Amino acid sequence: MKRPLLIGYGNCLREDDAVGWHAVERINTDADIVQCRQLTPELAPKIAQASIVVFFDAAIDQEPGSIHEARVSPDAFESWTHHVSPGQLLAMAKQLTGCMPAAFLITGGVRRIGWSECLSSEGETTAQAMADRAATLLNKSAAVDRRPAYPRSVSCPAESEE
Amino acid sequence: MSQKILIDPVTRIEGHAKVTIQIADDGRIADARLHITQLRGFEKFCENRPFYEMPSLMARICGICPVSHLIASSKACDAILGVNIPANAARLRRILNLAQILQSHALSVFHLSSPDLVLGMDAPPEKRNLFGVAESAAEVARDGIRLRQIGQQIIEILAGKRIHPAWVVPGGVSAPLTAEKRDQIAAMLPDGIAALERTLDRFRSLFQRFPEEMECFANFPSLFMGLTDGAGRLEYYDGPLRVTAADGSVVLNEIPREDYAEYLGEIAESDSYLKSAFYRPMGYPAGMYRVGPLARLNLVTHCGTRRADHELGALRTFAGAPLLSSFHYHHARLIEMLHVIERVEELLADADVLSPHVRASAEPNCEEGVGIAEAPRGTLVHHYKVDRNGLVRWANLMIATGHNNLAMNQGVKQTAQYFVRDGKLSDGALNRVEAVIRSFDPCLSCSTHAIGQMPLRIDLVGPRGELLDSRSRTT
Repeated sequence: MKRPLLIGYGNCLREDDAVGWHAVERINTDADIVQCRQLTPELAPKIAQASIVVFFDAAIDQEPGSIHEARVSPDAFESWTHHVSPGQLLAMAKQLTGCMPAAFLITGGVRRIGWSECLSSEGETTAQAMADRAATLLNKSAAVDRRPAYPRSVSCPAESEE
Repeated sequence: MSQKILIDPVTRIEGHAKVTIQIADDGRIADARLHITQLRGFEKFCENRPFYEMPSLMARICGICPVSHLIASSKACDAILGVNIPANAARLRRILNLAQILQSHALSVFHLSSPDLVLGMDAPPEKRNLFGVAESAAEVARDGIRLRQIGQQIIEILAGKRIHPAWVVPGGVSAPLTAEKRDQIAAMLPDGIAALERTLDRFRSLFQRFPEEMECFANFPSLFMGLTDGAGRLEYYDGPLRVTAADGSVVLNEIPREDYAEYLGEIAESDSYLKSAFYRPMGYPAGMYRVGPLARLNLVTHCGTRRADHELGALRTFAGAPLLSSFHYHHARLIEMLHVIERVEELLADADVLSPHVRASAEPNCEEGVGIAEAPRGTLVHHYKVDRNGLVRWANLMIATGHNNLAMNQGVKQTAQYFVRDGKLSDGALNRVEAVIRSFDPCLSCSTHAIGQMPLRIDLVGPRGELLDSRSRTT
């Protein structure tokens, strides 16, 4: 059975750059978790096998502490650098396996990216808020999955001959 | 009027480099140079650090091949301790080194070079990347990703993490292998063999589409150097260095580890931070030699494992022996990957692989230590001198890419002479100049570097340095 996949990425030696890394540890749900410094093509097959994928990243261009959630769409490949995007990975998963689960990117605004293996207190709050947002998202997704399937065919009771 | 063509940066390699091609008045290629533009300085800033810090410190040189530095550095530290490490420690280090070769070769063949091979040297630059390969040949990309994963997972299972693990230590390794971990590793190997057999089936015919590249990609006589096992088989961890000639004859059968500097010299050039290594008895630059997969296959009579031997036989039947064209580095890498998986299978099957005796302890007993191992790209030398307190006073590293530097330069010139005509440089010709460098898989460090379609600038410069023309492409 397919399971949700949570991917937290960032540099865990650079303070709040690792909010995504820390956020995935705070989510209490039955999911596969990946923590990595950057996204790489090796993640594509794992993404293809997931029921839903949520990426977690720090954003230096967002208001510190703010949380942003966006649906990830497959990206084109006009250019490719060492920085692979969630959308490129999604597209690659589709190309390699034919499967492309729903995917979301949750970013947390940060401003402290100094030398530290610990989050700042502001980063701690942001990581928790990212985790809370993801929990809501996953609950909604699970609720959708639990809806009874629309019947493919409905058999009518036989009409009475009376 | 003479011109200069500048390719800056060179793309899809590990690190930062640029190429200058000097065109003479009559339109001939007068010279070509590969410049390495980054400075690292590890040999200096490790001075005065305790020797036992060296493996972890030196591993930071590289994010792709940290395991190679970890192993060569630990071997140098073993020599400073003056110990023979337990047999099972050496066995486990071997497995780790082989896994490193597997994942690094997968990166080179699939992520960096397969766009040229699968899509063609003249394919649109925006398609020449792994995603472009996935679009047109999903199975190749899938197998490449899987093979790299297997190598990385073996490293993680054995050593705790994929990049910069601290498991290899002076005197051995820090923990033995458990039965559970052994079985986890063994379970992945059949998948790897199957992926490689599929890849080789496809690539054998792909390679034959590149007769011009075989002809001019650093296709010349040179010496070859690498470790040997004394029985004519591939060796990556131990043993003496062997040097052979372009006709296959043995120039020097055994260079003892401690005597490497008597035979191998290095020269610093003013236009590059990468030193050029040469074989001292023949002088500079006549003592040019190559290391890495191509050289290793030229040094041996056979690989020593069934599937890899069969494939090596097929390559030799097609291309002859010794292999002189650096284009064959790609095929050599695939053969080594096959051999690596077969060797890991053998090593895991050893009755003593779970032995808990994996570390020797001692105080420093010697003031000098040399460690040599085969990294994915070739022979890697770590050499330290310490004081009586075990503080490093001097360090020298010889890295595979440095051994290959003279040959890479000559290869760039040969390729430019073949493809650049009348000072005109098509995008396909540009890519071939880069591709000959890629065939060596130079590792200039793993700092951030774009791959695929890159900002690329070519300047045509007149004899007095004036800019005659400029072309660029950007991401």
